Amino acid sequence: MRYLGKKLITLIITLFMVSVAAFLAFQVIPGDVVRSILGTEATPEREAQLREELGFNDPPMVRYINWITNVLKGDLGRSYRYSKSMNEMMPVTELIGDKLPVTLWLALLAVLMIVVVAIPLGVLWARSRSHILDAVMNVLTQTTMAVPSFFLGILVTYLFGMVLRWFTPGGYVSYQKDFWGFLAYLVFPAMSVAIPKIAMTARFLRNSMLTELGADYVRTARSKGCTEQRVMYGHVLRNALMPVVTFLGMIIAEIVAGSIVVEQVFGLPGVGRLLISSISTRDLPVVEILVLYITAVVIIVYFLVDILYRMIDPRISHK
Amino acid sequence: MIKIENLSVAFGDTKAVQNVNIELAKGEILGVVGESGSGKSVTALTLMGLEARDADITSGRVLFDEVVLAEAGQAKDRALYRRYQGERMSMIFQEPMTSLNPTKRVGIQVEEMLKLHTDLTAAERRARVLESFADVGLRDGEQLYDCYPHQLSGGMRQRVMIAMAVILHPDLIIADEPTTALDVTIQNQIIALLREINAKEKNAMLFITHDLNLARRICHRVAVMKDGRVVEIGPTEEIFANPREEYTKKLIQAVPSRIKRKCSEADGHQGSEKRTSPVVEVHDLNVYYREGTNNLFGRAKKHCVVFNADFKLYQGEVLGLVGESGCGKSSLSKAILGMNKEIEGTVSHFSARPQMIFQDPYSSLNPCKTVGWLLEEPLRAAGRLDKSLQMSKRDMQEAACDMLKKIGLDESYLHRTPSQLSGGQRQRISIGQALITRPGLVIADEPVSALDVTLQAQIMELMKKLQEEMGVAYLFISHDINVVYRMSDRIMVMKDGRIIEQGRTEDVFANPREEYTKLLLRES
Repeated sequence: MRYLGKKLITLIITLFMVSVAAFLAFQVIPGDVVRSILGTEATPEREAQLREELGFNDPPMVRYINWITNVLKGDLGRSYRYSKSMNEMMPVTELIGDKLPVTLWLALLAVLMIVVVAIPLGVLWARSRSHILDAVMNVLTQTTMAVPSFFLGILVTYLFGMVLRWFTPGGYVSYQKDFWGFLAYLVFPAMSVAIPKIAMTARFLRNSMLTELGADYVRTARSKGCTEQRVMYGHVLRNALMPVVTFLGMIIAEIVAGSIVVEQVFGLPGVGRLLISSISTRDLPVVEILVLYITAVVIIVYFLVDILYRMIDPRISHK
Repeated sequence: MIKIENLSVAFGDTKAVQNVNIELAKGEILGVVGESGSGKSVTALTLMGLEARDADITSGRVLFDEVVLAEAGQAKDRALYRRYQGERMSMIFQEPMTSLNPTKRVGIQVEEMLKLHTDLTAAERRARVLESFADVGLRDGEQLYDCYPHQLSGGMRQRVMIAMAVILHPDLIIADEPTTALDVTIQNQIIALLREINAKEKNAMLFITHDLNLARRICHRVAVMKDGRVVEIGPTEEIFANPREEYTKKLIQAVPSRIKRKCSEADGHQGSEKRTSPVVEVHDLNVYYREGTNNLFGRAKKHCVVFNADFKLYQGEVLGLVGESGCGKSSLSKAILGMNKEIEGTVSHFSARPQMIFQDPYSSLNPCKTVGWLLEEPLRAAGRLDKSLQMSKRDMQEAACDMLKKIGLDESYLHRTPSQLSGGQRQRISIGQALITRPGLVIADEPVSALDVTLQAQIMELMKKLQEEMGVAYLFISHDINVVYRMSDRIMVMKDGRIIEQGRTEDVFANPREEYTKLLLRES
């Protein structure tokens, strides 16, 4: 319990440092935001007025504190680019609010696919003594690992969308309208994210299991008269999972933070697309919040991995 | 009861076991003695049905109560084996830490035996496990049941292994070096326990060991193995009294014993006359080690592992340091070499660049470098630190060749890598590395513990010879009091971080003052 408390404090400190870094980074990036917002309508008076409105005349320290207290209160600021109505800028909360679920569901589906497919596959592979299967798996995993996900996305679109017609490419259904239709559409982008990771995870698990199979306690288990099945699932799997859990954590973080390409390919209105457009239009409040969001997700995933690790390996928590 | 008939096992083209015949009767303890690679473990594992996948039985068969368990040319019947494994025969392994599953509670691991072979209910199984814990001398069974292996000491773990092995009262117990990984005092308890089990249960035991003394203490009969063959088999006392084979004689002689020392007393005395000036002086030294330094919040805890060490080591002297694992021997040596800076007190060196010889020659030599490179490395390092010691390439090569001759190898070894050398040859290279810079002090941390007895003898002889030639002083660390006896002019006994006794070797052995020293002497 004390451990969890400590971890939580570390988590908060990390987030704080990232928020400072994100804020500072956008202070030093060249380019005048005010001028780019106003564009052709810029006059010295309007510029000065907007500068005052956006708080650009305050010292950075004050602006950071204002920003972060607002964020903590739940007010994520307003976008410079998107407007809600003629005179009102779009609040970042709203902007991100309906994009976040798309990305998170995409990541969740992909992770589910990885866990459900890769673990049995890895165990099966480790157990098999067939050289043919081994060779086939080797080639298969190596190829899939090497294919970039955008290309895989195109392949998936072509195969399932154009040839098999299991879904309509570009026919994204909003989750607010039809949740199941939304999930059914997401299956395919999730697949293109998951496939290379499945190959990696299965390979990783298989290697880890083969290493564990050489361990002394496996010999002990066999000397007791355990069946191969029991040796694998009762003794080896749990020990072999430890490095895999760390690996999975890295993969999950990568998926959540980096679904940009797939969102483009499948036309998903997710956070990734928003991030790209915000960076290119210098929409700082949005970018800052997205950086914070990505960091938070990565840190939280690692936090969970750490807890899981402790659950699997009693040696860690007892030290 | 057990019959191994004309058994040969091969891994591809390598013959690991050749035409072995062993019979084992009920209630008998048969020792299988041999050095590593002699095929003793392969024989046992084959008997147990645990041979590696690439092992091939090329001739003979294994019988258990007239039932053929394995036979050359027949596919292995795993289902048949599983009925015997655990229930009729069980095995105790060398390394109790790694032989237990690290992520399962020990109670559950013992219980698995009952789960696999009996129809007892969960409550009955638990009761039986607790009973067997008590039988092997483990107290607080209830608490122990829920422990993980890493929470237990080595001796307790081995008792858990034994509880697991005897819980179903098997007819045969195979013990593969069951005490090698344990300290001497624990060793004796485990041996006593095995003997007691054998007397009570009247089961047959196959006791595999490289340690002749140990075999002598527990076994009724002994089989000596060499290069996959049984070279001699017979009642224990007969073999020790009248070894017929040359190899058996060599093995018996190689065992470091206190009687041997008496013969070489004459040259052993030289050390005391050389006692002119010290090479290192340790004064009131406390050594600590830090725990949890990578933690952002918790202050690092300091543990004291060595208390008030105080001694001098003189030129050309061999100072032995004995103690069980965890007593602080290695921490002390690291502190002397400055590898641990968490110390109080003083360490004064009167010679430049002390060197170290490590225990495991397999992992302490960089596997991708050649012998020549490895031998030159200390010279290069010295040259980098001190310009006046810089040597030309040719000089270094010459020095390396010279050293090779000194350590009993020839120039053809210069371009080999460690993987092409045997364990003994590797340890020779380690010694060469330590001595090539002509240091005044060499710390040898268990330099022979990973080696077979015959090799042990050779390496110790080499170390002695080089010491006399080069006048170097050794701090010779070992858990084996007999090894230390053979090497040292003076010895120190260490327990729980304190040096509890030090003095001239003969004096300490003749009149040990401390109870603990007496215990060590009695038990080995």
